[in-house]
Amino acid sequence: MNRNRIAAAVGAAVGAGLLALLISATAGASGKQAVKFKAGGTLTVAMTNGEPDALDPTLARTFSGREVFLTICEKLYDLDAHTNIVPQLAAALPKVSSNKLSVTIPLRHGIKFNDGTPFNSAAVVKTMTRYLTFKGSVRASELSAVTKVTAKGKYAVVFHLKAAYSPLTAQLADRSGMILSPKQMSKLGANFARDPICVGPYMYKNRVAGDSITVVKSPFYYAKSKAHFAKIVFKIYNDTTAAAQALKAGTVQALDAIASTDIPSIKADKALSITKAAGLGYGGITINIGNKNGLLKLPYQNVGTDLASSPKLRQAFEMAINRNTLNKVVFGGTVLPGCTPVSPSSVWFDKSIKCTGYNPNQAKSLVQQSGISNPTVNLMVPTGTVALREAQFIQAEEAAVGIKVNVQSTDFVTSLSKADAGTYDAFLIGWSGRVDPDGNIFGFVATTGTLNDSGYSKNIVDRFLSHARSASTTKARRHYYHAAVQQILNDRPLIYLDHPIASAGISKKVAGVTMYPDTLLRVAFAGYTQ
Amino acid sequence: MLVVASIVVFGGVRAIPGNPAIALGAENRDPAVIAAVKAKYLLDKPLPVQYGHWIWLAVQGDLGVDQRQLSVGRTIASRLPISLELAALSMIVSVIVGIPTGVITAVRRGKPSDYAATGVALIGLSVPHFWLGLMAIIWFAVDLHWLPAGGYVTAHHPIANLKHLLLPAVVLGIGFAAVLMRQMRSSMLDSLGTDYVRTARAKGLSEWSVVCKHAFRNSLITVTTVLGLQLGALISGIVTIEVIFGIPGFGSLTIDAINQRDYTLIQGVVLVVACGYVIVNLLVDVVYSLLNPRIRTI
Amino acid sequence: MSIVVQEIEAPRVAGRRRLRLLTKRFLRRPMAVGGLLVALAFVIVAIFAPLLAPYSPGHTDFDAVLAHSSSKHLLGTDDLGRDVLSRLIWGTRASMQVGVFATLLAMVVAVPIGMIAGYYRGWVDQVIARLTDVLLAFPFLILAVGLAAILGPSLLNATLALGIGSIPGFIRIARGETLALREEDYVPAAVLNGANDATIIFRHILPNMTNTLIVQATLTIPGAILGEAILSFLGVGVQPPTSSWGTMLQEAEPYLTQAQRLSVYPGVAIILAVLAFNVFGDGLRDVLDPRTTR
Repeated sequence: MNRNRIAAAVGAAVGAGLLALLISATAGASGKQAVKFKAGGTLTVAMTNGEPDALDPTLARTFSGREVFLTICEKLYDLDAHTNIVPQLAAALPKVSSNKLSVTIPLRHGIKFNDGTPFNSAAVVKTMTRYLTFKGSVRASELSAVTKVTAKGKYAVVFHLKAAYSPLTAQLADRSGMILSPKQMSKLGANFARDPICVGPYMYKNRVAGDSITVVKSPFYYAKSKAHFAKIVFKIYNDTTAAAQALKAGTVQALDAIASTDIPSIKADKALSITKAAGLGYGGITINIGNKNGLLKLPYQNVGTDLASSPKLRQAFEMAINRNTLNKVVFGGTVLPGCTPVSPSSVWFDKSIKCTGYNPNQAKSLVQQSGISNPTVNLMVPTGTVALREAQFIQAEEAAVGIKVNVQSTDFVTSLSKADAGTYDAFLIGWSGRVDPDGNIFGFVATTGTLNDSGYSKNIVDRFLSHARSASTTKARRHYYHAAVQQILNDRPLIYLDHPIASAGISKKVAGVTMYPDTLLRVAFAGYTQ
Repeated sequence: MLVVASIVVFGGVRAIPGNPAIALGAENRDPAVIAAVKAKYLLDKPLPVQYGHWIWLAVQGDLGVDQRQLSVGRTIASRLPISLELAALSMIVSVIVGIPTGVITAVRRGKPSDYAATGVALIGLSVPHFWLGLMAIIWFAVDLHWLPAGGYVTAHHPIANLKHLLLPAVVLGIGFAAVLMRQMRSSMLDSLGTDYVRTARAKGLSEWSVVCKHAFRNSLITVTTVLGLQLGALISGIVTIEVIFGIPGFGSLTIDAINQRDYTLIQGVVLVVACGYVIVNLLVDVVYSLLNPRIRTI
Repeated sequence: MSIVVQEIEAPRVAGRRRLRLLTKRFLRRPMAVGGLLVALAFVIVAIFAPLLAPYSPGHTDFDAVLAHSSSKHLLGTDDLGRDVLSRLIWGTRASMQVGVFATLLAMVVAVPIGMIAGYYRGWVDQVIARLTDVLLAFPFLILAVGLAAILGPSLLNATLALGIGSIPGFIRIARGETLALREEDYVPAAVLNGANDATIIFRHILPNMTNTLIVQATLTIPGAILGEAILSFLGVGVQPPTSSWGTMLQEAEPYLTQAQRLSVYPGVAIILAVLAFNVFGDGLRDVLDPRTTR
């Protein structure tokens, strides 16, 4: 009992400390500091979250790709440090019509694409049409509520919707809001990724597959004085330890994600500083409850595994895991323990949700009550050092309450296939997180959710979530999300364990590098100070 | 043989579960995208049609376009020289270390230096090179800061380029040095004991010139033979070392391609490997028959 | 008839005396004896792992993570608080399993194929030689990674991949030996006796090959052990929580700066095991080689 209290106290202290850090970090970011930047120089950024895929926003789906796009492709909207949506290429926040089916967005004047052509409503319309109709467009599903986009004069566009859709602005604050040069679209068509041209402080120069992407300062940008480097090179590092070494050696000046095991040595290095941001995503376990025949093969029916058939067993499963020890042992103290799909770093975080705490004794009795003898769970884990470490930790915790966990290490791509096919019991997987809570919840637990690997289907949750989509006031939306999440936490199609905190390492010679809760390293307006 | 290899690769790659659409999908698995990927790879057409399509293009030098929309041919062309440089450097290291040691231990057979060198060689054979790489990184890069821990700099900056490749080349070269040494030793022992040599000695030629002449002739044969036998091991070694040291060469490209399920890239890569293998084996045979007309394998 | 029978039996009669002679020659090589003892030690540890390890390999202790050597944990603990010594001992089992079984698999598959190629020659030989070449053209690592991608990574699949990688070597040896042995006198004698091909191959040629095969096997095992280490290190072999030397190295890699010792222990184990088998195999080869005099 004592150990639990101490652990809880430690956890609270750690959480409080991190929150304080975040507050001070964001305060620092928003405070205006007179920094003298040197013009020129090359910044080399180490990316450790995988290699960017095609540099065409129509097709792009990688995290690292978004980091590169931050320098070469501005969007209609962007985030600020507190995850509020602010206009970037748009002139103001969108105006929604009274029937909620038309959204008008005013555009800024005097902006040029990185090939010199003008940015206007025609360009936005052409881009959106491409996103909606291009064969294989990934943005189409993000903009699925949009029927068409029309120009209203030279500097405004109207989005026509099938049904009310509040998350639209959030979508336009990511890749779906990136506007492409019409001239380049016509010139390259499907091969846009070979030489992408948008609006940005930097422009694409070249790329060596598997190694690096180089961008150079753009002479066309509307706020040229804010871009200081002559060149930025994004280098891909598959091994986080090698990336940390490179940062310490000075081969790279920024590292977008330091592995928890490398943080002590980077902290100790006087020439480096660490920027932290609590992300919008979560880490957790998806439990296959009703996915018997495959994703979206409705109706979902209970798959009959130990966890699927017994809500009490699922509760025991959650109670057996000490999130604070998980944080300490597996993640080296670099995550925020949590139990909801929305991260504390988001403005949508719901403080009033009560979590199921660590309680191994009650877990043991719940296991008895479940009536299942020798409960066994096959936990599918995508290969990766940290994931495997976490899986083994969970295995140990569950063994202590009488649940046997078999760790099934599966390569990432195959694990996604299996999750979709429903050929798994439990899946240790997270989600990188979206600005709008809809992006963290709907796809996973709505009956028609395209990421609902759990096969969870509950009418009342569907209703809450669709109301949340169409409601227009924040207050109303919060109310619906609260109800939905409360229900999900009861049924446990997913058990949420933590919210990752991204730590980026930066050389002290560089200033102006920021990281918002989307955990993307923002280097576009940074520069050398020495 | 190339044909068989290409068929095996083609079939093997298609057998990998988790189709490329899912790999491209990462988080959002969108049915429209999956359909587009299927169309691009002709995944709905029967296998022989897919295979024929690929071979037809490959023969024309077009290995297709990978998931990043970059030309596979160009990617391979840019990363292959890096691995070749690494391979060449490690071969140089192993020749410098292995050949003379092999000669000396053959000449001083039975003496303590022979046992010592043979012992070291055995250890060299037994050490897993990736472990040695990790240890080397710890000692030389982390603790002593003498050399970089990995990465690669193009040959435009020759000094930095060599600094980055020094550790990987040495680590890779040591294993082969050991093999070379043993081969060299045994072939020197064989030839030093032949009648031909006894006659030469009887004729009054100095021990040194006898040794040198045979050493030279034998070393060429030895290196060629070992290269031929160990090519597979060399390639495996390059792959591991590139992964550990983060060198963006051909080896790490292969691993990445497989992990990404980048069909086009995998096929292109393995085809190149198979071609390379054929070429090297051919060269080995040619050199062999040139050196020793009595051994004609062609 | 009886004369022919005697000729066939002749090579076996000298068996027992020959064994004693070979043993004597072997014992004169201290290195080889040392290798044999160490190799045997590893085999014993592998078999009796459950009895020898102080803790179970999955026993975690979250309060003693990355601990240094102590009386409780002779080699300290790893990143999940598991006893390193116990994991090393259990790892011996996994690594030895892969090493030995991969070699056995290769032998069982490759030797008959090689013998058929050597015995029949002609187009059969040509076909088998070409297929061996194709197999050799795939660096085993790429083959193993590909196999892991198809079948999923596991101890079994690592064994499979390494076994397949070792097949060409055995085919070559078996083929070479068969080519030579089929010229021996007892073969035509057996043919006269009415023996069919299968009998000749398996009852007459094979037993005379065993020496070479044993040597080849002893020298293939260390390669397979190294192979397992590489595959597990890259994540396509044995999977955690099963402990093998390769997975221990993989789990230790992120802690290269914090806890170097975690990388050293499994590495030393690999070196010792591989060295032992190599030295033993070399010694064995020298002993069985009719050309050496000692």
